[in-house]
Amino acid sequence: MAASDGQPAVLMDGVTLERQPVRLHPMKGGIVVARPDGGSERLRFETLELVSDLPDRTILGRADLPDWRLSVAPPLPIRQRRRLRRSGQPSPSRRLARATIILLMVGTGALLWLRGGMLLERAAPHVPLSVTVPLGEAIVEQVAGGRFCATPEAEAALARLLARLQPEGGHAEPVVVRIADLGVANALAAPGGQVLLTRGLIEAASGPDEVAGVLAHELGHVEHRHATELLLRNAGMAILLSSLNSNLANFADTLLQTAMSREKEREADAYALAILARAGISPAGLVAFFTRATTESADASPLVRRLGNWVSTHPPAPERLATFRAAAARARGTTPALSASDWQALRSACGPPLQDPPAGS
Amino acid sequence: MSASGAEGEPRVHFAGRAGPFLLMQLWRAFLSVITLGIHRFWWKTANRRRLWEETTIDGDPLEYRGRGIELFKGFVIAFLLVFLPLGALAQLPQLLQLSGASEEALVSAALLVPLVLLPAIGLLLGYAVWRARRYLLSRTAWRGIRAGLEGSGWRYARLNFAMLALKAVTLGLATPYADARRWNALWNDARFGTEAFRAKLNWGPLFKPWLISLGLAVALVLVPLLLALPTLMGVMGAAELPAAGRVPAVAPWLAMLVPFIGFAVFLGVVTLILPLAFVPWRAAFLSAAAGATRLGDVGFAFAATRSQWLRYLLGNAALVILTLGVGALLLPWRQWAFWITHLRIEGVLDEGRIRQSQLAAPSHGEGLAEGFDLGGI
Repeated sequence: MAASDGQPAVLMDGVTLERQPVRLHPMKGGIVVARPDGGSERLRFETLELVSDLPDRTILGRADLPDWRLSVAPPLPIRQRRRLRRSGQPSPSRRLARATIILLMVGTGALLWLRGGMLLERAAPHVPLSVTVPLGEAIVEQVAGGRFCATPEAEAALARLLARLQPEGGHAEPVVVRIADLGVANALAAPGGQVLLTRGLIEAASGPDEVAGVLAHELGHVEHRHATELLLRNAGMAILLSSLNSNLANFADTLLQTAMSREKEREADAYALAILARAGISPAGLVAFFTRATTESADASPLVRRLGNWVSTHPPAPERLATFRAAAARARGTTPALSASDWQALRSACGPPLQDPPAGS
Repeated sequence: MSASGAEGEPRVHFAGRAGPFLLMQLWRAFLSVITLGIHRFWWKTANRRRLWEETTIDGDPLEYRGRGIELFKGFVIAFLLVFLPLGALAQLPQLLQLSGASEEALVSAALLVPLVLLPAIGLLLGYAVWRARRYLLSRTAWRGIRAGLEGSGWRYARLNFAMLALKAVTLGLATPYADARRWNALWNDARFGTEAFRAKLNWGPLFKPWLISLGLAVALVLVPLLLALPTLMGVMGAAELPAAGRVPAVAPWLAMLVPFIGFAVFLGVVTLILPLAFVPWRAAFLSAAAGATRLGDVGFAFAATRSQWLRYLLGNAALVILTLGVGALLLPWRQWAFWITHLRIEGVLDEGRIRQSQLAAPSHGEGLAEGFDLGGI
C-alpha cells in the first residue's frame, strides 16, 4: 500500500500527548492503521468502539487500550459507524435488566399512587396505643379548649351507655367519651379511642336515642381507626415523630376539616346501626336528629366556628337517611338509650340546661 | 492574549447549540420524573458528555468518560454511610423525647447533637467538593490523556471548614482571602496526565472588588427592604383590626396575599438582584484566578468584561422568567458556553514530557456532593 493512500486520521496513543498522522485502509472486518514510520496495525471492528460521533469527525477507541483514540476526519461512513459498538453502552442483557428495573419502579409508583389508601388502612390499626392515645387526648383538649363538663352522674350515665353500645368482643381501642362545654352541636372521634361530644349536641337532642345514635356513629369511626388513617394520610409521619407536647391545633384542624370519605361514613353508619341494634336502641333517634334543623350557636373560638355542627359536617345524604329509616322501621323491642335519670344527669353535666328541650319528635 | 488557531478561530472553542441541548434536557427531565429521580445520574452524565464533546482545544475535543451508574453508586454509598447516620443522629433528641428519656439525657442530647453535627457537616462539605472534583477530572480526557486530582480530600476539607469559619467570623470580609486559598488548594492538586496545575492567586487585588460588591448588595437589597417595611407592616397590621371590630380596612384576602407577595419579592431579590450585585466580584475573581493558574507552559485567562457578565446573568433571568421556569433547563448550557467562550490559553504543552496519568481513578463519584446538592454541571 502506498503511504499516501487511504483516509487520513490522527492517532493519539493515550501514552503521550503526541498526535500521529496516520492513514486508514479498509480490510475485511476492520481497518488497517498505517503509521508514518512504516509500521501498521490491523484492527478488527470488534475491538473498536465509537467514542464520539461528531459532525466533523469520528473518534474511535479500543476496548483493549482504554486511552487509545483515533480521530477520523471527515467522519467514517454511516455504514461503518453502525457496525461499531458505542463506548460505554451496556450490553443487551444489561439493557434488559435496566428496562426491567425502570418498569418495576414505574409500576410501584403507579401502584402506590392508586392504591396507597389501602396501605394506610392496613397501617392505621398498627400504630400503637402509646402513640394514638396521647395524640387523641391532646386533640380533644385542643378542640374543647380545656373546657369539659363532668359530673359523677353524667360519667356514670355515659359509662352505662357505652356498655350497651359494645360490639361483639369489645371495642377496638379503649374508648373514652368526654363532653366539651361548647354550644355548637358536634361530636368528634379522635385517634386512640377518644370521643368528644359537645354540650350543644346534648342540648339539641330531644331524647337520649339521638345522642346514642350520634355516639354510635362516632364509635364506628373509632372501630375502623378512621381518625388515625386520616391523620396518617394528611400529616404523614410527622405526627408520629413530632413532640407530643407541641401545639396540635393543626392536627385538630386536619381532623375537623378533612371530610371523611363517603365510604368511611358508610362504614361508620353500618357499624352504628349494628351496635344500636345489638344494644336494643332505636335508630329513629338518629333520623330525627338529622331531619330536625339544628342551629349553630355563636361561640367565640374560631376553631369551634370551623367545627360547624355535626349535621353540616355529616350531610344527611338521601341514601343515608333511607338506610336509617329502613333500620328504624325494622327495629323491634327497643328501649330508650338512657333511663330518665341518666338522661337528666347527662343534660345537667354542664350545669343547668340553658333551654328547654324542643317538643319531642 | 490568546494565540488563535490556523483559521483565526479561538484555541478554546465551544460549538454547541442551545436548541438540541434543550430538547435533550426536556427528554431527560421527563425520564427523571417517571423514574422518581433515579435517572438524574444518567442525565448529568449525558449533559457532561455532550458539553465536553462540543468543546475543542487546539482542534481536539474534550472527552467525558464518566458513566451514570458510577454517579448512582456514589450517591447510594454516600446515602448509606453519611446521610442516613447523620439524619438518624439529628432525630436523636426527638426519639429520646418520645421514648420518655430522663431530663438530663434530653438536655445533653440537645447540646451534644448540634455540637457533633455542625462540624461534621462543615467538614463533609469540603470533602464532598474535593471528591466531586476528583471524579470529574479523572473522567475528563484530552487527546487521550486523562486529568485528575491528587492529594487528600480531608486536607482540603479542613481548609474549607477553616475558611468557612473565617468568613463567618469576619462577617464575609475575609471572603477574598478565603476563596483565593481554596482556589489555590484545589487547583494545585489538579493534574493533567503527569503535569501538575499551579495556582498562585493573590487575594490582595481582590479586596476592592469584594467591597464594591458588598456595598452594591447592601444598597440593592437592604435599602428597598427598609423602605418597604413600614408599608408592608401597615398592610398586614390593618388586616387584623377588623376582627376586633374597628377599622374596616384592607380586605382580608389582600392581607393574606402580603406574605406570598413578600416571599415572591424575596425570592426574586435573592435569585436575580443579588447575583447582579456580585458581578464586580465574580468578574474580578475569575479573571484573576485564571490568570494565576498555569499548566506546565500553558497560561490561562478569563476575558469576560463586567458588562458581558451582566448580559449573561440578565439573559439567564430573562430566560427563566419568560419561559416560566422551563428555560432553567438551559442554564447549564449557558454557563458552560459563557466559561468556554471567554476562556483563553497561551503557550503549548510540552508533548515530549507529559505522559498518561498514573493516578488511580475513583470507581464511583460525587455521592456526597450530590447529596449535599452542591450544584454545578
